[in-house]
Amino acid sequence: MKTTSKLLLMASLIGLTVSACRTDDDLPDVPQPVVNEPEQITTVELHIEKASDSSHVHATWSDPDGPGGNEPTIDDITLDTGSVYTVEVHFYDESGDSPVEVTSEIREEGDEHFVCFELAPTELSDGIAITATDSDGTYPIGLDSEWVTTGAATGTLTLKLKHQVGGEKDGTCEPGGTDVEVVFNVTIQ
Amino acid sequence: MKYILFGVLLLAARYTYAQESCTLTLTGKVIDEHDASSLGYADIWAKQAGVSTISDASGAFEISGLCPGPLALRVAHVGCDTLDVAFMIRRDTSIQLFMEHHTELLEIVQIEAAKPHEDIMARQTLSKQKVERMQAMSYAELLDDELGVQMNQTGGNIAKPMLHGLSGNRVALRDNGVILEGQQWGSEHAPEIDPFAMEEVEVVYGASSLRYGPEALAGAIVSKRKTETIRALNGWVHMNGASNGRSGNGSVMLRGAPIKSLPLFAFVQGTVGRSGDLSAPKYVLDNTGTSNLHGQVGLTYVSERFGAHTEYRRFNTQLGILSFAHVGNLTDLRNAIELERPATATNDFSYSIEAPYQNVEHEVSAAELWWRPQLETKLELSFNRQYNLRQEFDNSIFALNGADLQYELTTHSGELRLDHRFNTVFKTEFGLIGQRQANTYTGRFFIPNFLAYEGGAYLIQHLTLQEQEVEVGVRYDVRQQQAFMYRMDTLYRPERNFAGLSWNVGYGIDKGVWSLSTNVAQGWRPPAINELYSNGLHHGAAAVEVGDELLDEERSFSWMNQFEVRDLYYGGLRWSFMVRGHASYYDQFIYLVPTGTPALTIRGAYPTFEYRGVDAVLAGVDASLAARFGGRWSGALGVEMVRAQEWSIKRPLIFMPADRADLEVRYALDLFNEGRYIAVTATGVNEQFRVPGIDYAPPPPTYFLLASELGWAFRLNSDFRVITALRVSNILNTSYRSYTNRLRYFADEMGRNFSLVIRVPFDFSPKQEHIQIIEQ
Repeated sequence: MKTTSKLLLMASLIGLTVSACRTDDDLPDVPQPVVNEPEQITTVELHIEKASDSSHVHATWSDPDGPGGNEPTIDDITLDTGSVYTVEVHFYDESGDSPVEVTSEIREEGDEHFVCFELAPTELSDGIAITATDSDGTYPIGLDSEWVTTGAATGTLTLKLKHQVGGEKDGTCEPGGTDVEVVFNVTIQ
Repeated sequence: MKYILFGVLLLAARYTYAQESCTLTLTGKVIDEHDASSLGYADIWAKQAGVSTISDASGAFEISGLCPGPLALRVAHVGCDTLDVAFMIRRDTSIQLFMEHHTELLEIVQIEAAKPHEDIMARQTLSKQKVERMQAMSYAELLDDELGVQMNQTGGNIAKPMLHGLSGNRVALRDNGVILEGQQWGSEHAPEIDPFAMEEVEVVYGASSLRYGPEALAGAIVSKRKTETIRALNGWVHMNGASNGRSGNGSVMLRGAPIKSLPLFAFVQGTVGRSGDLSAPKYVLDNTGTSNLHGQVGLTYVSERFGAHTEYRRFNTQLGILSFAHVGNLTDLRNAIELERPATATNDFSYSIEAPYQNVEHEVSAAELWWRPQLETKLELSFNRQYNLRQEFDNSIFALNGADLQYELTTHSGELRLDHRFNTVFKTEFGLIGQRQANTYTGRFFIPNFLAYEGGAYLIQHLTLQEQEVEVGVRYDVRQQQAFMYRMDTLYRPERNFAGLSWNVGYGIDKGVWSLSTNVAQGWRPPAINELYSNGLHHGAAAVEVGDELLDEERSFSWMNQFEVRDLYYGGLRWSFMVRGHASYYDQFIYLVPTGTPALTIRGAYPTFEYRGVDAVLAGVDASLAARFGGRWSGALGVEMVRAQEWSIKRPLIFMPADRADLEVRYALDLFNEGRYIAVTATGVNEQFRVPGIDYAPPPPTYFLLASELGWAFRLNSDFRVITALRVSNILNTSYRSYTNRLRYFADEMGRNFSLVIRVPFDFSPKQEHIQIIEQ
């Protein structure tokens, strides 16, 4: 075989191989990143309304740049003794340009999610009774709740959003993975 | 053909050992089978006897001082396929060896053919028997029993090899001449190499940057297909199945030179495999299934002075991640650690792979040209392109259409290599390397986009004086890298330049019965992209990991020694002994150091780790002792130990493998141990006591495992051979956890497993006797 035909054969084989290649479509000349983070929860907001006079406060736990980076900002919660409050829990993704509320997605998948509250120390857990007022059909979700305060106390409230998949949900905080766990300082006075 | 002598072997099986008096003489002649002309200056190597010689100008040779018993010879001659023959020697014997001499294959069998390696690094070649009886599901699992190699695991199905405690960016993986470029910095990464496609595998220990680049500080694993020399259709069919995971794999290789009169060799190979959930002794490891589809195709043109090769490989895998390991935060992790049995564990087996899982695709296109203007000189030019797609699907709150995290890494590399042998003493290798690499991500941020250019040059000088060899080499590499990321909504594009010198001075002596190699090397590597820029929650590790963008190059100074004694006859047994000792000092050993202050995130508090360069010392010993008794019994004991700590504060490094010992007893059911045997292996792994005390859970306790294998090989006819092996691993169904498995917090390792492998090599070449024996 002549050298030219050999070379042609080789060239066409190499050409075939190269043309079969998969390419990175996101790769411009300068690989600038696109802002395309998947939705995440960066902010928890408690809407607390006092039943007797409809006075309304928001308590926010917010970390828009996600884990690492800047420290989160956390509001304190102050409640009156001997009162009834209706509380709504809202979750937001504030990592993008404009905040996106994701509460409704959690409500839609209510049978896989559970918001629970833990109070410490005993003094505080004796001072507030928290009852969830919503339901996924079987168990409460915890996005809506009623808080009844009695005596004065201080302590911490831990709010958890649990992801309880595959029939794990049993109305307690135990099963599943933790999507959110934030701590607020609470004062009842 | 090494199995031509099957008839002879069967005859020999009746032989029993007489008095061991090693005074026999073998005389012989090497002949070209085509025209019966004699072949002078062929290398004849009796490996077990530890003797080698060279035939004279008339092709004649003589080896004396041989012991009665089986004798295996390897014969090499320029322009011929290396010939392996084995026969029984009982008295002084004369033989004729017929070699197939073909000039077009001159390139393939080089002058150094008699010498098995191109360098004098400490190394271990995986036995052909082991590679052919591949039962393992993964690349890392195949290598795990080799001394000094462990697995860095994420569950039962995701693993990468660890050399003397180091992995990822410190171990280069080279498959068929291409150094793998994937997301190897990640701990839950498995190499994108099809283990079923490998025909020759070798572990190179110690800093080997000269040939394998800066990321070979701890060594390299080199795998390849057999060199293609057979023109007729040949190849193999490999099938295996395992009870644990109810897995099945099938792989086929076809090759040959289809066009008559044209030295153009082609091959095509493909593997398909599927595994369901693996099982621990007491429960099913939910979502640990694997799905594989790999293929490769290539062409090689070989002439006396010129050669060209091109190939294309594609690797696709889907790997489920153990569902018990999905924890939201540290409290969940602590709760999971306290449970002996995972909370959601069941006994329900399934093949389905659900989130969290990985989808990985790797593509390699490679081309190579070489030119040998004269016998002593060879010029090689190679180019390859690699594309790595890695998608991670999390079990996240919000169902996404695509992956939660996706990386696309594209690498183009080129190498120019020149080999020149000045005379029998001096040989020089020179090389130039260039690479461009670009990475983009989509989804959750963990490492940024980047664009990197690398260049390097090396010069290696060999000096050979009979059985002694000295190798001196230097290599210089530079890397220029720019990252692209958003910080506080503004584009941040830091640029870094790295450069470093690697060198190696090695000495080797091979006396046949014993050999020694020692290498002193200096190496370096640029910090990996995650070590510089990662900033965030590492979901797999339940930790916030913070990179340090000011990190400098990691530099190592290492010393590696290997001493081997082969087939020493003493006290009625034939002994083999190997000890490999190594020590290295790292300046700026980059690893995760706990900061002590937890990071507050919306998922709760996490421990924070920072990448820092510390001074570290790693040292260890691998040793093996093997004995053969008669022709049938053999035993081998292997021990491996690594010690590693931060030098100045004497704190042990985390995730270093615990001490391990393996004892194997084997009984050959045929005298040449050609494939019929029963073997029992006991493995003990000690608890890792040397830990830095910053782990979530204490290291798992010491464990013992028992495995057994029955091998049976036979020849179907002159074209087909059948190799089978039945293996039972973890016979006692022991519940245990491995320290180097990142998911040891959550679940036990795999329980008992029965696996069966059937491999059918075939070769439709016209058959030719390669040896004629005349006893005197």
